[in-house]
Amino acid sequence: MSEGRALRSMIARRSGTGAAIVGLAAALSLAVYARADLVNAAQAGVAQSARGLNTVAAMLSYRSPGERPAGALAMLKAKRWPAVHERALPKVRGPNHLAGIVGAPVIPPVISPPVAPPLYDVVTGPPVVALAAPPPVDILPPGGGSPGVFLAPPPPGGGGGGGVFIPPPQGTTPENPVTPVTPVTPVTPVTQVIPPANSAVPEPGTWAMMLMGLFLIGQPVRRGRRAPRQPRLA
Amino acid sequence: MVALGLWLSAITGRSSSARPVPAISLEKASSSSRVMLTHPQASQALASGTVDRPVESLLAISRPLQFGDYSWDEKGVPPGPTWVRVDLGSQLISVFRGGHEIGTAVIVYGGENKETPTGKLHIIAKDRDHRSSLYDAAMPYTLQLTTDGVSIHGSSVRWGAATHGCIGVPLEFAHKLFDSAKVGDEVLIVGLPVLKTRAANSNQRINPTS
Repeated sequence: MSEGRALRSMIARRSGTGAAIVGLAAALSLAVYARADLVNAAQAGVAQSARGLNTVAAMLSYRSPGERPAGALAMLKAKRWPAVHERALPKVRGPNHLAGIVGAPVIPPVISPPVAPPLYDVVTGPPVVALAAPPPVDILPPGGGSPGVFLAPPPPGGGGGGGVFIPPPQGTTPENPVTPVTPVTPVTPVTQVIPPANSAVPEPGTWAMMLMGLFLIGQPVRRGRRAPRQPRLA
Repeated sequence: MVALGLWLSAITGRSSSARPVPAISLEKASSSSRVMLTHPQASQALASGTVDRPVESLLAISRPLQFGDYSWDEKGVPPGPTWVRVDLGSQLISVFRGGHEIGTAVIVYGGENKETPTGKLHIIAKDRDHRSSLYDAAMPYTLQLTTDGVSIHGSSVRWGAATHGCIGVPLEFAHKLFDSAKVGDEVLIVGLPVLKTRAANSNQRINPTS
């Protein structure tokens, strides 16, 4: 009986120890499962250190595509011009007096810069960032993906990125207390007008000059007809 | 039990870090790993002026971003105030929630004579579908920063493009930022270091100290 009791106690102790070990292992495994993000973070941190990126500034600069080149500043959004009708002739006649007149200033188009080659080799690694095409170009003004019309230098103080905006609520102190600037009507530029080919009507003065000229040309003929002919001597 | 735990952690790690990216999809995969900063790194960033708030973690970006790229991952980030850091020299924007970075993207900013202002600004208005009356252009998911129109909004982010002062970000990134940010949130805009260098050099030429 005592042997059985001793055996049972030994089994109980070992079972208890075994259960404790199993419980500890379960707790550890659950802890590892719960902190998987930390493991990933630690791995990412090791990778960053391996590249020599030990400061926040270095890590942020590493992901940069580089500074913008100085010449790549031409692709601004085109400013909206009001409709312009300019008269090249002092007087106009008829309903088609606007025919041939250019309504908007003729400005040479901007040549889009070529697509820049990638500045860095793509590092193969976990796909944390995916490549993608730019979003649809419905954001841009009419004219397609790249603005075909380049604008003259806008008037100073013409606003930042937009026009009339929602006024700030009461109590706020904006950084730049500048009132919204209304758009200034631009100075009408000189346009080249090509008059139409076959619809030029002479002025009354031109008509009169033409008739006078014909009259002058016909005077000697009239004088010759009025004066009697002298008989020709044989 | 140990094997079960290890197996569970393994499959969890696989699913979170190896999300397949379709070859022709235009979807942006989010960063799945995060860099936890050490205390010296965080202190150095705050002391050097890189950030003006404590930062605890950054998104782990494995390669330099290109125009049109963005990364957004707010999984596991505790709630907190949203704030933004824009670096014009690096052409990058970083969005933080509390001390954790949740998004980053390449930006376009103001061109010549229309520079984007620098400093600490705040969001003064939000407009989901704003349209510029001055330039007749759409400005989706606008976060207005100044009274004269400078704002963060969705744009076509391309190499060589510039704005009239606004900060343009990819459209989907702008959508996520618009949903996360509130009026009053801080936007820190860091300027171009090249301009400072030029000014310093010119001062040295005019007033040589050595």
